[in-house]
This record gives sequence, structure tokens and C-alpha cells, in this order.
Amino acid sequence: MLELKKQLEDKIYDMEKVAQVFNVEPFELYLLGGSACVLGGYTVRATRDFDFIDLQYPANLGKVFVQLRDFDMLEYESTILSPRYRERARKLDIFNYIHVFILSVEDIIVSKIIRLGSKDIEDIDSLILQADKDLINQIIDEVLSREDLFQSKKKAFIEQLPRFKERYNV
Amino acid sequence: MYRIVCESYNNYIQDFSSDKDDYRNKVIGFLRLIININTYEEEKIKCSLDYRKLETFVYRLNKDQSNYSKVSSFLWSLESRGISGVDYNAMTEEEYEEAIKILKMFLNLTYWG
Repeated sequence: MLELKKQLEDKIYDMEKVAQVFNVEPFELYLLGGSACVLGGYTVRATRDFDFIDLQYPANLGKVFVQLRDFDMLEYESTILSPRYRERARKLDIFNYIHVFILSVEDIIVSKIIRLGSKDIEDIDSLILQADKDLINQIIDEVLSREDLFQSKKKAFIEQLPRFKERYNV
Repeated sequence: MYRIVCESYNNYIQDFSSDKDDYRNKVIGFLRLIININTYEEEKIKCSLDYRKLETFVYRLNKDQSNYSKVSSFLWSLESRGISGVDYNAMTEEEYEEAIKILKMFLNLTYWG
């Protein structure tokens, strides 16, 4: 698994090199999902995908992002995130040029509630052991207060909440 | 990836603006409906060919998504907008394969910027 973590780090280092070669200004990257879990040491799930929030990046960053190969740029309005996710994110100091952050364990857990498929449950089973349940409840409230979240997603999230709360005693 | 696909579609179409009869231009034309949801709703009421093509494409893409990386968040964003796919069988196999190729270029940022 250390090998996988190094592979993920190397892809971000490649991104940094390309950004500097093309004089792309340093920018912020907020990771969630499997790559965040591995890079943050939260879980050991095997993944090579990078999921990150679309901060309305300009198109000149395209040549930088392609270095990640497998990536998904997530639309904020369709993603179960608190408006305060950046305050809780942790910066990965091993990167010097691009400001890479990983979301908190609690923010990642809440982002998974909407699906609660078998893979998500497996992930949450592992993540919940290191999570602050009061903070999870706070984040859930923050998500529910969002007006810029698509209603279809908010509805699906609300439908899954009882199942999540019962399973994890949150 | 939704925003990227929309911007890439516009860039792609501009490349073929002088040749509206270009095969690939025609094949991907139904994607114009995702750019403007009002247009999508109007075409939905008419159950137009482009609407049926889009629904068919999304339906098949949902079934095939494990074969294509980066597609899932695009489909997720379409679903947010009420586009989750219906099997109208409105595309030939050749059209579907060609549309997939072009969508993959969009998702790989080939036409972004």
C-alpha cells in the first residue's frame, strides 16, 4: 500500500513539474474519495482515481490535470459537501508548488452517505473509527442548509440519512 | 466533469462550424441539449430525435460506465439535472461508438480550452 501511496504522490509531483514548466500559477486542489484516504493515511483502499472539487478552474490547467490520468472533477452543486469543507481540510506539506488538501475524515464520510453502496459502507466502516461523530452531525446540518445543492441530490441524501444514522449510531 | 464537457462541446462544434454536414458534428449534435436545460425540456416535450438520442446515449453510458473512467461524475451531474437516460433505441451502434469516442476526448480534456 505504501507503493500505491507513492504512485499517487508521484502523479501529483508530475503535475507540479508541468505546472512550473508552463508557468501555470500555483492553485488549490481539494481531494476526496479514495485517493484522499490513501494520501491522508485514513484507509488503505486500493485506488488510482483522483476525485477533486471543481473550483471553476480555467482551461489552461488542462495540461496539468492530465498528468493525474484517472481523475474526476466534481461539480460542487452536485456533491454532498458542507460549504465549510475547506476550513477542515488538511494541507499535504510534501507538495511545494500546488496547494494540495485532503478533506477531513468527517467530510469524506458525509460525502458518501448519498450512495451507501457496499463499497461506501466498507469505506465508512473503516473511517468511522477515527471520526468525530458530533462533527459528522454538524456537517450533515451544514449540507442540509445549502441552497446551491441540486434538490435531487439533497432529496437522495435525506432519504439515506436514517439508514446511515442507525448503522453508525450517529 | 459536466462543465468541462459543455465547454469542450462548444469548442468542438466551433471547429466544424463551417461544415455542418460533417459526420462527427452530426453524431454529437444531440449533446447541445445538455448545455441548456431549457432546450432539453423543450425537446423533451416534443420527444424530438435529439432528445431520444441523448436519452439513449445516457442510458447506454450508465450501463457501460464501468468501462469508461471519468464518466461517472459526468453522469452524476446529468442526473442532478433530471437526465438519467431512457432506452429509446434511437442510436445505431456506429453512432454510439463514435459519440463515445468524442465524449472520451472531452473527458480527457482534449477540447478544453
